[in-house]
Amino acid sequence: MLKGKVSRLVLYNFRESIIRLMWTFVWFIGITILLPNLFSLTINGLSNLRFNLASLDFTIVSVFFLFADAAIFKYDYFKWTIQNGISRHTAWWGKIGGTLLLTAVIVVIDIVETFARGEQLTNLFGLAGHSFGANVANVIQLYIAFLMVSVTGLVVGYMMALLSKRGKAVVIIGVPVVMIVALTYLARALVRARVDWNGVINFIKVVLGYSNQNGTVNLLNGSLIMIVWILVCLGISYLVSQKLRLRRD
Amino acid sequence: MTQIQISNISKKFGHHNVLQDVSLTLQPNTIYGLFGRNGAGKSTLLNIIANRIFPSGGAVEMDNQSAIENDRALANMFLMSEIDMYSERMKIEKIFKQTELCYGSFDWGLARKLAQKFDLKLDAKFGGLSTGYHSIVKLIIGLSVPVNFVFFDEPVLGLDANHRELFYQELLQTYEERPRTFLISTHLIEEIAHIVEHVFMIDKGKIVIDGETESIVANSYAVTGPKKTVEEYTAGLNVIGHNLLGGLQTSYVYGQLDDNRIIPDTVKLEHVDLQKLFVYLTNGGGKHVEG
Repeated sequence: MLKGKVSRLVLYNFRESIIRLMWTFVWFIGITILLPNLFSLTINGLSNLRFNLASLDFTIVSVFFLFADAAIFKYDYFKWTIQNGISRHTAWWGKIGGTLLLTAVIVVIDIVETFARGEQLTNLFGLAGHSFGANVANVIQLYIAFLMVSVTGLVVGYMMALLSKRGKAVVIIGVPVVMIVALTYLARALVRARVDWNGVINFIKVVLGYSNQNGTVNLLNGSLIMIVWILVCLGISYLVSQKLRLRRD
Repeated sequence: MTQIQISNISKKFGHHNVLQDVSLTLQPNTIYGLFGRNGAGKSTLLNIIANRIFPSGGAVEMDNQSAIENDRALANMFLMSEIDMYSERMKIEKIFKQTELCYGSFDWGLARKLAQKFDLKLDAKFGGLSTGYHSIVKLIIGLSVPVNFVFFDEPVLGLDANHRELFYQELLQTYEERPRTFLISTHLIEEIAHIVEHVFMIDKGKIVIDGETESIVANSYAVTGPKKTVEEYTAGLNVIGHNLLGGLQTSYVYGQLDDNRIIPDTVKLEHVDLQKLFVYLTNGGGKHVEG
């Protein structure tokens, strides 16, 4: 019974996300193609109209969507599931399942878009794909990278879901302000301190498995880091989702 | 038969004890009333049973298994609360479909019939409805879901007298056709007194009455007569309140009368209805008596 409930929830979440993604594309096309053409039509008439869908980067929009879809409406999702007799545990699995499927769709969008332009599949870490010599490895790496984006969104979303409306407002306004101030001070301090960055750069190169001979990074290193990140995010989002409770705000 | 056992539930919000050591049992196929003043802890108790918030202590069990984070238990209960849990942007029919998706089935026949009777349009958006119609949507779902425990928290909020009457009728009819447990939390005690089989009264986070409606009413008395005579007759009894009008006093007693005391000629003895009993029990003079 429980498995059936989880799979129903996964499919439901996936379907709802796809509908939202389609609407995002509609808005994207509207803003980037229809709106400029509308202005052009009113100013220049029919002569300068351009409808070039190939010029649009749907993958970038999809990746932003992945993060946003994972990050927003988590408290509403909790309210909806608990109202319908679904535990936090099952709701979380339902959301994870939906996210896994949605991420796969966005990888497909990227592949279709790449081939439609006659380009090679995206290599996230330099020439790593070349050293593997296989598109499959690229696709897997792409999937892991996109998944990392969505689970990061999930952590943000579930943490925000713990906050009241006032708390959310404080975080949304306060965090960017604090970040700007902190970064400004940090930048000033670093300029004054005249830090030797070579050590940091070398450390990053080691972590990413950079090869001086080939000038490439090891695909596996980057992927492992992303997998660890994903697992940590999944753990945090699960723990936070178990703390959700109904609020009167 | 499935039952829900609530044992020693307590709940604190900050330093405020909202519920203290609340224990009760919900038997199958019974209509319960949960009565209490504003802030008494009714909604908190229902939210804990339905797993929406966590208790500070105690246990909620269904068939001797914890109901907290238990999908099997949660799928067998439905809480209709004052707080709107549905998306404002969603159409009513979609809300029903989602309920069906999550609970596995849904009585569409009953839902459509009730929607027609309440004059509710299924293609309307939830957010576009009035408070009364929000309640109606939730009531229809509560009556149409395939669960054995339905909890209504202020079910008639915003409903006019006609709709309230219609709801009580439909509740009884659906209960007759498919018996299950209903727990109704409301301020309008008089309206549902004739429906409720068992009563829980909660005051300041504690259960002060837990008993069959008939037995509670049978144990509630209004003793009216001259002040001195009434005071003498009710001395040592569980007097929960009194009224003084001119020289006449009415003392309200909850519990057994002393059979050995002869009722004076000048004293009149009547049973008290649930509403009056509630008012006096929750006005500060209440003592816990098992019904």
